Amino acid sequence: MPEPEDRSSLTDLDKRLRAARERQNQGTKPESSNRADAASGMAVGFRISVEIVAALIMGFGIGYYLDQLLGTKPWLMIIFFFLGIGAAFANVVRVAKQLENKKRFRENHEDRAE
Amino acid sequence: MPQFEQIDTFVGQIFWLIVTFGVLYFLMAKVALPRLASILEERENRVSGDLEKAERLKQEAEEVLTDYQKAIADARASAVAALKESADEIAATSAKRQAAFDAQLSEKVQIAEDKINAARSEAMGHIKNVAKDVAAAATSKLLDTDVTDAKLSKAVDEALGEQN
Amino acid sequence: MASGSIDPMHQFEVTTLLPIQLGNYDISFTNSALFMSLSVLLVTIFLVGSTRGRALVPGRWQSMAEMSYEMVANLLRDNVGSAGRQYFPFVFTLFMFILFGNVIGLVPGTFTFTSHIVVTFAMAIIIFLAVTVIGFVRHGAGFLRLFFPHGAPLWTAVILIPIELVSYLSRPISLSVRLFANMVVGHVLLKVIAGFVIMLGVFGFIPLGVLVGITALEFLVAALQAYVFTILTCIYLHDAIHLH
Repeated sequence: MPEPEDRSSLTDLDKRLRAARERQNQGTKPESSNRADAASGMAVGFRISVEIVAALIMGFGIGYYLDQLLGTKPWLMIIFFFLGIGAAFANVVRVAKQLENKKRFRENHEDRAE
Repeated sequence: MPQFEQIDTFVGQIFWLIVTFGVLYFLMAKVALPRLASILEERENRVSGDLEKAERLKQEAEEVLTDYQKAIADARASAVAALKESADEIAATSAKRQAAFDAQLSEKVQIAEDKINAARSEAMGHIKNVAKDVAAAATSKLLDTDVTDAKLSKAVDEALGEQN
Repeated sequence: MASGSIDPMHQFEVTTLLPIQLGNYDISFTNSALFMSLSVLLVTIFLVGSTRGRALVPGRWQSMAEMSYEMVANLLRDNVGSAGRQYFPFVFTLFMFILFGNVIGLVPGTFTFTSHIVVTFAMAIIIFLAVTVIGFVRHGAGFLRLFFPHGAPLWTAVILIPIELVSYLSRPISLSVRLFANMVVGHVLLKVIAGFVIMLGVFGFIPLGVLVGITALEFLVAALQAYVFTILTCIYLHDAIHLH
């Protein structure tokens, strides 16, 4: 008596179904930003320099404004300029951390959403 | 740089920025995004619905296949059983017939043997009488004496016994 | 500028198309307002027009619309988490508005409203204020913890808090200057090289190749800057919602 042969076609179907299911689950969470990253080296450099300049401007600006307000002419300007330098460092560190996070995020692909 | 020189246009630019952005926000929030969301959700549902259906059909196919295989196995088992039964039956019948035949045969053999035995003993009887007659005739002719009948029978019996 | 008849700054000039006066304020409809409206119009046509069919198997335009939707949704989810869901329409509008403003501006003869610091700064300051308000609404005074790194020695507060404060206040500047500067630099570069093409006449094909290359790069920059503006908005939202 001949053995039924269609077992193999069923397992094949099973495999394809599983693949389709996986693809569908993947589809809800596609890799979000690989393409933008490719050309972002320049953007990262630019971003860091802008962060530094913005922090310096802000520090200097606050000092200048407070000096005008309180009549303490160069002192607050100087103090806040240095704070601006500190803020620039803080900004750069923050950017670096964000980039690091993003890289790690992409590597282990875990949702950090709470 | 006009960006820092045309200060009198700043209010107007901010005003139009807020107006146009507000309009776009409204259009996005009320029309475009709900529609896109519903399209994507519909597709998601459809795709997972299709997949579920395919999986269910696969399940059914597997069940059918299992049933089929079970039916085959059952049929095979019952065929084997039937075969064995009929083989046993045939064996039993032929054994019975064989036995009957044997019995018949031995009966016939018995009858034949009996007949032979009967014929033989009859023949023996005849031989004895003839031998007695011959012996009587011979002795009377040669010796000219009559031998008693008893003596004759005894001598013939002895001679026949020797032969046997 | 040195290139004679071509002034690379001319393209940034705001010209009045329809004078409107509201009280003491001049809110004339300018070329800037025109291109803002055009951006709104095109975004709407793109997103509403392409999804008209509600096709289950999307065509090219619909799948582009879906891609932009999913990209921003992923951006928001990756950077803010599920709590950012309610801000999705705003973030999406922001992205599309800036993206179309940047890209439309690359067509020769158009105006790029994102190359005006007042526009980018207005957007940045609105985001900054909104994010700050969200932070205070969610955490009350606890939002101020954002200005002191978790676990740092207490005496460092004297120096760290002012630094973090300055850093926080510098956000709208960096956010607006980045977009503004990128747009201006790109457009000036394109204009100057286009000037060379015209000046060199027959030999203009040499800078023409460069022009084509830079135009391609500027399209990338236009998209990238819209993306960066959006992702930073998301990161600020994350800080306001989750503190650090």
